[in-house]
Amino acid sequence: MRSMTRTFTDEELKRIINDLFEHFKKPWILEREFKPYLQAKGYTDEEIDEIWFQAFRKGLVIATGTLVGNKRELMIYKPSGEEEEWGCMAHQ
Amino acid sequence: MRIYYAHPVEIYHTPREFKEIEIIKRHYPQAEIVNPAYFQDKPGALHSNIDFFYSLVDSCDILIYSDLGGFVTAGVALEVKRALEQGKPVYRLDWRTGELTQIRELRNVLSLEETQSIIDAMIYLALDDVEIASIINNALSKHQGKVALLNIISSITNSPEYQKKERIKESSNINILSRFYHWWQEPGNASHIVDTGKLKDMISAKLSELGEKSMRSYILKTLKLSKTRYDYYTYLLKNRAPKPIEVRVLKRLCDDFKIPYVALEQHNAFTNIKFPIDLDKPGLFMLASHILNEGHMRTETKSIEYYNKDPVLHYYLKQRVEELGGSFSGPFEAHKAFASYIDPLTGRLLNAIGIPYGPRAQNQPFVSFKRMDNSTWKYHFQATLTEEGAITLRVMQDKRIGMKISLTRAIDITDLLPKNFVSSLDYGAHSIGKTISDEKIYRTIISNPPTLLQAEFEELTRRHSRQIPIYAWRPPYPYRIQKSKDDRITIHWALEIIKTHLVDLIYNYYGMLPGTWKSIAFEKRYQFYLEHRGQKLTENEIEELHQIEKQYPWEIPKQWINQKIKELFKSNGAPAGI
Repeated sequence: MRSMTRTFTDEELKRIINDLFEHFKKPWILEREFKPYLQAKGYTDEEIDEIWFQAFRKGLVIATGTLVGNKRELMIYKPSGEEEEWGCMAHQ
Repeated sequence: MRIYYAHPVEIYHTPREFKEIEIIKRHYPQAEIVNPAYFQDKPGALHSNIDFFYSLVDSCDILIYSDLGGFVTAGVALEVKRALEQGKPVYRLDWRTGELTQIRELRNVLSLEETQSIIDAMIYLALDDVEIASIINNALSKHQGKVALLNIISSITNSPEYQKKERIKESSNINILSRFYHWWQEPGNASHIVDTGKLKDMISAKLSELGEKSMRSYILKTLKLSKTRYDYYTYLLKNRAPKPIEVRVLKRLCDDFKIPYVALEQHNAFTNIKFPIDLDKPGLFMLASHILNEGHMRTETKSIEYYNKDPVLHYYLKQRVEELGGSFSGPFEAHKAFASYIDPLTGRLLNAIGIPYGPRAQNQPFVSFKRMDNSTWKYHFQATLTEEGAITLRVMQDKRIGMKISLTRAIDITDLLPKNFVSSLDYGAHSIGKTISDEKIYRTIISNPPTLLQAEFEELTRRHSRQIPIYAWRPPYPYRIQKSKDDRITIHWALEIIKTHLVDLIYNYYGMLPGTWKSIAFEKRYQFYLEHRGQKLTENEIEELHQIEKQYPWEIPKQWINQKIKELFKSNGAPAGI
């Protein structure tokens, strides 16, 4: 099902994620924030899904949900400093 | 099947809403419930825009509504009328009895102004909906419809005799519409001691009001009931003595004699318990914390079970139960832990504030910590940290010390996942990151966190938002997926606290429940962490850490357990340090 979508290399993913967090300057980014940003950079909706999900699977970000009003939304979180060294239990 | 669940806005996100949804699910386990409360934030979904809600009603097959003591609030009435006009089945839900009754026409509809004034009166007088409805109905029948409802509500609000001053508090853990547990919420086979003299007087008064000659002629001739029923009531009421009577019998008696259930409470007919029971007790919410963590509530007539290895935690539990007037027994040695038991009525009170029966991962509790006073919230977090928390002290790669505090909770989401995914998954526990390769399934997982962990995280961030911005916290995330032998899928979520200033906050503001083994082990580790953090540990310091871990393992030493059992449960007097 996913074979039609583009595959990103580890370096590409790292770069995109780093750019994203540098742009927003905060450790939590909602999908409603990163999606328009990446769209503006020329990525398709499918590629954007691929970016956050692959970044999560490779342990670059924690992908989870948060409540915005009464609705849960996808958000990505980038551990930093002491948190980075502890890693994320989702990959252990 | 889609069910539109129409209910007053005042019930949204309250334990009463939780109970009402529980009842609808019990009657229609497969149905999708459309709850207007979830559409509050949607653009165009303001309650002033009724068309939006009409479209939701139109999309449903049936409508179930709840009211305020028999009075249908203005917004609910519009939705009910819409469903009736379309010929859809409409049911009235009584959350106190769990009954659904089909209705074909709507009565006792309140205007917007009347709705607001009833709500204001309830809050001002500290009465719940059935109590105020009973007062209003009495006044209405006295004036025989000659006085407007609004005037009646206003005169009741201004009469000091109706205000329950003893119920008014500065802060309240629960809203007025969920706050009181009435006798008829009890299961049918629960027995309570009733002053049959008072009951007899109430029946006599009712018979004369109905113009009946005697109880005999009323039962046998007017109601055309059996002689056995008459004989039974005669037996029940003889001697005017306090007598245990089953709730189902009392309800039938009230129905037969047209006595409103609430009248038994107004006449103080119960001698063993004062009904209604006020659920707005910090002790009840504190007890709930222990039960949410380590308790099991199986059914409404079974004792609550609590399992833990630490006798001190059983002692905390005992104190909470006794403060509430409940009965506690234990701790008894059980498989790998101690077990304590709490009476079923206390369990029913816990259920009334949002703790469901059955497996925790499948039946998520209703939790809202926002109304909790600081000390009750603090107790909840301390108890949770003690019962569910994990503290990890680790020498990092650069030989600096790090501490992680984690809380984990689980949720069963089997019914939300595609069947082919469930069947393709191997039994046992798997890492989420390595197992889930479909982004859509992952989205389903993150859209459904354990309600308790999510509420705890939100409250933690909210209570400390002045000192700590929300972005400083690491949000809860799913980390493990587990398939059981009965093909249920459980997702385990973690809330982790790693940053130094957050670890300090948790230790200094909360900590664990004092006197417990885990609190002692936490204290020793935290002191080491405090003294050595930020510097590279020497070999001697690493050895010192190993000694602490050896001396204060997470596994509680047997000798300590025996000593605490002896101190707390085999002698008189409260122990030091609790």
